[in-house]
Amino acid sequence: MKEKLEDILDKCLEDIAKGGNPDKILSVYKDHPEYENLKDAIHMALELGKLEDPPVSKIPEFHLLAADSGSKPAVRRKIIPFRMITRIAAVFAIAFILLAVAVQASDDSIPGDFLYPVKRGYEKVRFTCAMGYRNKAEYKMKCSNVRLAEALALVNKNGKADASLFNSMFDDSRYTLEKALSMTGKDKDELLYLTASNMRKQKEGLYQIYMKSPEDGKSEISHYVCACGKRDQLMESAFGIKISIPSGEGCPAMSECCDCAAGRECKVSADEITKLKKTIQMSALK
Amino acid sequence: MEDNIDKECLEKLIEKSRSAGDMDALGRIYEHYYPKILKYMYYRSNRESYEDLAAETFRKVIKNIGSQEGNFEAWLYRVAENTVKDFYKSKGFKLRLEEGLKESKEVPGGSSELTKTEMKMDVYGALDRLDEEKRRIVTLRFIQGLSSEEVAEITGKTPEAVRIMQFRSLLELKKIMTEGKVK
Repeated sequence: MKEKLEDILDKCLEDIAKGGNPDKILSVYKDHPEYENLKDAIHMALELGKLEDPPVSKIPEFHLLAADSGSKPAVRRKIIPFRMITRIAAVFAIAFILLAVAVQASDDSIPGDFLYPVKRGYEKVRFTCAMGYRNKAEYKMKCSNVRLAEALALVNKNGKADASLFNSMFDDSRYTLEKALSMTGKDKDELLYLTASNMRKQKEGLYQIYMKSPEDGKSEISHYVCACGKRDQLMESAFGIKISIPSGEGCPAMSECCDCAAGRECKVSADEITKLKKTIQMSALK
Repeated sequence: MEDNIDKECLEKLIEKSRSAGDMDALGRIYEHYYPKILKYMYYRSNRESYEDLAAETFRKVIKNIGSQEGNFEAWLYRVAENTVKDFYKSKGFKLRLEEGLKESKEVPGGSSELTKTEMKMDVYGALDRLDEEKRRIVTLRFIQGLSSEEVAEITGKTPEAVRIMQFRSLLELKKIMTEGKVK
């Protein structure tokens, strides 16, 4: 294909710019029908290249120019492109959906399950988000019942309860009692009654667990049932709230646990009662 | 004044100026490009206002460096070109033409044997007779010494279009000078 004249010119100019001899470069195209035009164009380009630098009267100082421009250079703002915003939003939406699914799926989980930490984490978030003492206290009460249900599920599944669940249940109940005592008037009476009722439910639930537990596991649970019985007695003596005790032969809440029966100190009961008394005393001081 | 900075260093200075508004970096960029822009303005506009126009170009650069993206040099020449256009718009387009005619010398009819001084004077005058676009390309390509590709990026044309235009412009310049159109 025949090379275009403008391309030849550009090529020649590049060769000249690299230090080539213009006459020698041009001589290659001597037989080209447009040779004269090519020669004129190159001649003209060379003349333009020889033009001198302009005379400079005074070079403006940069800082004066910057001051004169009225402002400091505008720093480039980091603009997040629309696509990026969409992607970030999509990632958040997916993460939110996954979290919601995980929370929902973790609802029936028990200690040892893969999703159990999600359930406990969600409880902490819900507790933090609950507004006001009353709502927080009622949520803790709910949590204490969930711990009891988990202990029952564990016994049904593995034939063995987890003592840490009972401790957690007691802690939640104490928190509820503390908040009830910090209130006044009707709210205080209502929450105190709810706390006492919940304690009774816990004692009944613990007794069920005690009954379902294998013989070798009964001893440990009996201490917690015993603690529930002593807790009821304290609630009755301190606030005059009588809580009915579950019927049934051999209930440690009635006959006390193996330690109490043997005249030894039941550590679980002693600890719980000490903590409860401290809570009541602290509330009275306030 | 021209500061010989290597390409990599220049890129770093430009990035500093863009992202952090670094005045020292911008000062070095100014030192590097000011002579080039001054020369561009001298041959692209008139012989009286070129220094003001170069300064005005850098005022715009200082103000807008934060929003600059892509090839800095191409952007700088576009800012310079817009400054020239704004100048003529405010003064009236005829001004440049009149100035060009006033400064150019009469060319001996049909003779291509011109003395060096005469040739220079005629090149100035002949440049003034070119239309805006051709003059811009000739200035960038042959006076500023940029490649066809670089000129294409600045002007927004294809390199082929630039090559065609530069060839026609050179022939037109030659014709203006040899046929004594500059009077």
